[in-house]
Amino acid sequence: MPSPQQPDSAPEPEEEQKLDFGKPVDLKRLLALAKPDQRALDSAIRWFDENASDSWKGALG
Amino acid sequence: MGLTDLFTRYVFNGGSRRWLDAGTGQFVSEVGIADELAHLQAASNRTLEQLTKQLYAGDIKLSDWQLAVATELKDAHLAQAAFARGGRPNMGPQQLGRVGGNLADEYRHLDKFAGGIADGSVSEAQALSRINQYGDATDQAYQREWAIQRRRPEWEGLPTLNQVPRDGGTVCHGHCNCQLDEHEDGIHWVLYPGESCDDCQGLADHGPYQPGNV
Repeated sequence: MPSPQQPDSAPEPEEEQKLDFGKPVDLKRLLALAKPDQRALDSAIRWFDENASDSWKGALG
Repeated sequence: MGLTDLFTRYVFNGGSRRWLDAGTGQFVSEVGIADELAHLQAASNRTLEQLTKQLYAGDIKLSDWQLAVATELKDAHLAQAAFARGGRPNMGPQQLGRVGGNLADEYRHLDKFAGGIADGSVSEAQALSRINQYGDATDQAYQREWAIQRRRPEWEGLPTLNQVPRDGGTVCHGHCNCQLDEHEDGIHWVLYPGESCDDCQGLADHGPYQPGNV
């Protein structure tokens, strides 16, 4: 009995499936995020309190 | 309200621009500060690695990854700068602007990195290795703000220090544990035994310095 034929579009077994990551963010949008303000500083202080060693938590005010 | 809202063990001494242990009345040693910087770097690296694994697992899109990485870098760079400055009250427009300029450079690198991921030329292993460089580089915000504060009239005439550890300006691209240290005769670039590149070695040899355009 003949073995079933693979469809033409089937990838080679050893070929890695290419991942579709979607489109990257526009650089202008990223650069707009780079400008820090007082709200960003509030966020950074929270980040520090979450990630610092226990004895340092709260040190930045 | 947590205990940290009521009491913090460390207070910043504005005169010496160093952290003081309120319990012992002693300055926090450079080793103590370096340990905390390493702790913060590790936290960033964990977050960035996790995001990158989620990206390659197909759990998040590239745009989500970029924005999450950018947010993590912004928090970490700003926190490190504030740590060097002694906290929120000492972070004015100049300090925020300096961090912003540096973040913009990091985001330009991130843009190219994302382009490589999108076109399939960056494997997961390569991406994980590369994202660690971004986490390690968060420490440069601390080093930069620390160095700028160390200005003394008697250091005029010394060579100027125009770069800091982990700013990517050395051959090792910041893959070192070099630190800056303040002595009476100027700022010293201190090597970590057995791991310094030629550039770091040269920077250590040509000190002591006065702070320059870091």
